[in-house]
Amino acid sequence: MIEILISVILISAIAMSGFRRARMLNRGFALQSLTIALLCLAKGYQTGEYHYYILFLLTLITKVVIIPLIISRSMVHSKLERETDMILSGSWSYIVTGIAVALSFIFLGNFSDYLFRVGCILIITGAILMMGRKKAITQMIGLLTMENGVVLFEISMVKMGSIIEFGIVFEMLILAMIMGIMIFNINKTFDTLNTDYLSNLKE
Amino acid sequence: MHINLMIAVFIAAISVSIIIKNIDVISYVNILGTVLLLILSVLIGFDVADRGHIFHFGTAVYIDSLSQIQLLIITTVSVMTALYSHKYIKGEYEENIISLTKAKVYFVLFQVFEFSMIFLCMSNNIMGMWIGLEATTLATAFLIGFSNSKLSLEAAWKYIIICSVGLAMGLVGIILFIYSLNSEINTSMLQWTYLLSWDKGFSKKVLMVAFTFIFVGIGTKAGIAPMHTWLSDGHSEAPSPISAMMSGILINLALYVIIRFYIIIRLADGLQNMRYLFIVFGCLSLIISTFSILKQTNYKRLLAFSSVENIGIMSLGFGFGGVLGVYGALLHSIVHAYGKSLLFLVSGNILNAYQTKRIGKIKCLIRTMPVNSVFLIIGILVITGTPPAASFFSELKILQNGFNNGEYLPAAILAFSLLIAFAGFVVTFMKMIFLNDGAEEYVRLEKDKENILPLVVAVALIVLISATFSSLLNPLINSAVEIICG
Amino acid sequence: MKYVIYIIQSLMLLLLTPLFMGIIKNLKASIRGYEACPVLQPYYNIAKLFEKGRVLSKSSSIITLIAPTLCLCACVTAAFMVPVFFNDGNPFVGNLFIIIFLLGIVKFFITLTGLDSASAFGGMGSSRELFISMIAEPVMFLTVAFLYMETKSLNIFAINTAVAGMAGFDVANCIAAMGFAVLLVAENARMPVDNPETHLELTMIHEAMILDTSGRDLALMELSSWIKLMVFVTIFINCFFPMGMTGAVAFVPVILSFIAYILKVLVILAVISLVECSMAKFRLFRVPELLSAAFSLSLVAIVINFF
Repeated sequence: MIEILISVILISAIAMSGFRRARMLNRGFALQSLTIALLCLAKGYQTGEYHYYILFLLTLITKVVIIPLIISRSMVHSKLERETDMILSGSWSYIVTGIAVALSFIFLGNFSDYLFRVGCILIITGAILMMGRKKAITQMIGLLTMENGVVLFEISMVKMGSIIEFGIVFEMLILAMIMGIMIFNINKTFDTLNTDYLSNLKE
Repeated sequence: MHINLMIAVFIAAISVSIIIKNIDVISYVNILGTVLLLILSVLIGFDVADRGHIFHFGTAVYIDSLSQIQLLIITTVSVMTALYSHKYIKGEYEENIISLTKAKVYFVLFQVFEFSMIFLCMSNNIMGMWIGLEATTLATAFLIGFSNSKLSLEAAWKYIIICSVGLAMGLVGIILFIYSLNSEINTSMLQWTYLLSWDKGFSKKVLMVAFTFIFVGIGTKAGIAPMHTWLSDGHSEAPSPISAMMSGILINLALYVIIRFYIIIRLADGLQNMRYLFIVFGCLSLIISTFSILKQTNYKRLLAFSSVENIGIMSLGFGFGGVLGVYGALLHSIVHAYGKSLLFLVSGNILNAYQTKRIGKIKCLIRTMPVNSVFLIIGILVITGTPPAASFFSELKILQNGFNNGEYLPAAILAFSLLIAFAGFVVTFMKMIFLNDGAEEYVRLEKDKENILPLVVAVALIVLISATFSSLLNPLINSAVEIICG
Repeated sequence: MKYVIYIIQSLMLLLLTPLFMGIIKNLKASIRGYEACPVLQPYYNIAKLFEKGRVLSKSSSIITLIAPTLCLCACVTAAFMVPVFFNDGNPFVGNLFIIIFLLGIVKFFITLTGLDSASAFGGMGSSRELFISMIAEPVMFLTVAFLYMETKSLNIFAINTAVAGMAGFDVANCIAAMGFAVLLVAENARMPVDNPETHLELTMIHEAMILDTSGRDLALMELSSWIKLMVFVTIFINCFFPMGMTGAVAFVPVILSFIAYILKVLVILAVISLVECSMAKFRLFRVPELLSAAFSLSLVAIVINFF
């Protein structure tokens, strides 16, 4: 069961790197977070520790329901939802992501735990998503993907207390809210979400 | 007991800011709150001087002399900025630039910012330190984008993205760090004091990777080059009191978190070469920032780059590692906090009077704003390290340590950069202050007399520090040096 | 005895193919909310087409005469080389490359027929089909390479036995299955690469090539493309989800294995119908993006398997 979930996470990571529309990215992110929540549930069932169940509930509520809602509501006034010119566009983004995933598997080959490797891959995929695009909303989703990767990393390696994990998830939620409000403001002020216009402050 | 009182003060201040609708009352409560926090922190300081360190709430709160220094810096700078914000926000509110809600949001976020910084420096839990840093990012994001103009939104967006990525990398580093402890993980392992007495060995390779991640990740928040790109935009577009707080305290605190981790990894043998991270990144910060200072056309951006330079100096001090270097770095962090706040508050006054941030448009400040230009000159002399300000002695100690250790190249880079920074500052600001091309009649502006009290407080503190650092503050800094150097 | 079962299983595959196509049409109709034709309609269609005469263009060559028969022969040969519901290690046939190239013969001759019809639409369909298959070939070979690396054999019967012997699912298997699923859609002219129900010639890829055929030729071409789809589905099921496959020569296990196969095929047909009803066809120049996603997935599967 865990293997199927891990493969869904990897497939969603590679697929999200090529999506153009913000709504599809939103749904891809929700699917990824749902899979991570189910992974926590499966691990909790496997090891019997109760704090995995708490993490499952937290992830489900914040990352599957609330954060996609925040993203879609901050995009309400944006006119163009499709990214037409990207830095890494079309087939290249899929291939670059695939090669990056392959390379990270090669470098992390000696770790036997799948979750650790998938965590690193999500971080790298989030970074590629942030770097290769020009729209602010995609950068936000790339950042959230990176945080997903850090959560997976954390599940696989250490076991921190429930309060700390609650703190981290709460932090992520507030970060997403703040970024949502900021995107709304950027849209209102600049009338576009293209970050090419956000380069007035130079040396 | 004092800590409980601190929490009570915060809760009171935040609830007053949310509930009451009168800006004056909120502002006075804010100032009162910061003064109370200052008194409480001085009392805590006496406790720490007596007992060496104190615990509270079990082992959740731990204050030793290193935290005490940070606590003093936080509370004093926040008193200054609270005094300044009073006139600043009131002025903007009365000219109808901002609405009542926005002014209230400012004060609430100010309190939350201060609370998260104090939480950070008093926390014993390494994850608590990370949560505190992340909370400061969240609190300052809106404060940077406060004026909702195009440039400030851009600066706020860059700030959020870069700092969140940096802190995510820092979290990865902390997780790897806990993993490298090589044993069954229980929650008491997250406590710094427990880790300090860890004797079961570390796995070296993982520890090296973990510390590098922590350094690069949290170094993004500290403004170490080449991760400093958000700093020049963020600090120049934020409102002046917030710039003062961020430049003076926040980047200092990020370096403090890195030092906490550095103290632990020095316990593992064979990792003495980690200090080269500090030296290399410090030299890089110095070079990049000083050459950027030379070609600035915006005085607030120049001050922001000077913050990067000072972080580079402090990082070199910690990297050189001897008693002199660490002493110099800690003293420099104190003086830099006050000096930079002074400079940012003065530049806030100039911005308020001239409504422009460009250096070329401001001329002959000595005639139009004489009081402020006196404070400006004092601030420049303090920041660039002119005797008798304490920053001269701190930079001298760091240089001495560098030459003692035999690391001539970084010390030479440090000396060269200090020279170039001094040149950059003096040329730019002397043009602003003394240039009289006779084109127009320079009269003293009315706005010169506003908001002088915080500046006076800042100068008083600098004079106090410079006069007493070798007598009053000496035991405090010395015990902090002992904690770091082992 | 077991060779009889081999022949019977492939005959069942051939005979049930039009039924499966009718099931797809029925499922799509019930999703869309109208009443569909009876499930056995494709059989009646083929029978009707065999009774009709055919019209050949004067400017077409011998290709139009021999291509339909060749395609059907290639497809039937490929159908006899795959395990359907019985696998006992067939020693004679089953090399994966031969199966792929047999299906490639089908593609080649259909393309030539399209060009041969001397109408503009046929040529357009051929060029589009070759464009897509040029990008789909690397995915196919990466999948074959993945299967080889996993099971150290190129014989599809041996691959089936080896994958059935693995305990539980494997991450690499699932990812390669997803890549192969995209390839299945691209090679067999289903959505979102090509709409099989379209009647607008400018949107056709596969239909355009057989636009000019009629009567018996059309029947043979349609049959061969249906059999190609079912052979692909069978390869997909047996290489990635081989649960329930049996090698015993007794009656009950064979029947159970047959039922398992039918259930799996029905699930895949349901997914295909759902995808066809919910998506629009991709623009032609966005198909390489889809296929490069499949390429990435197969590459990742190989690397995961290796480490």
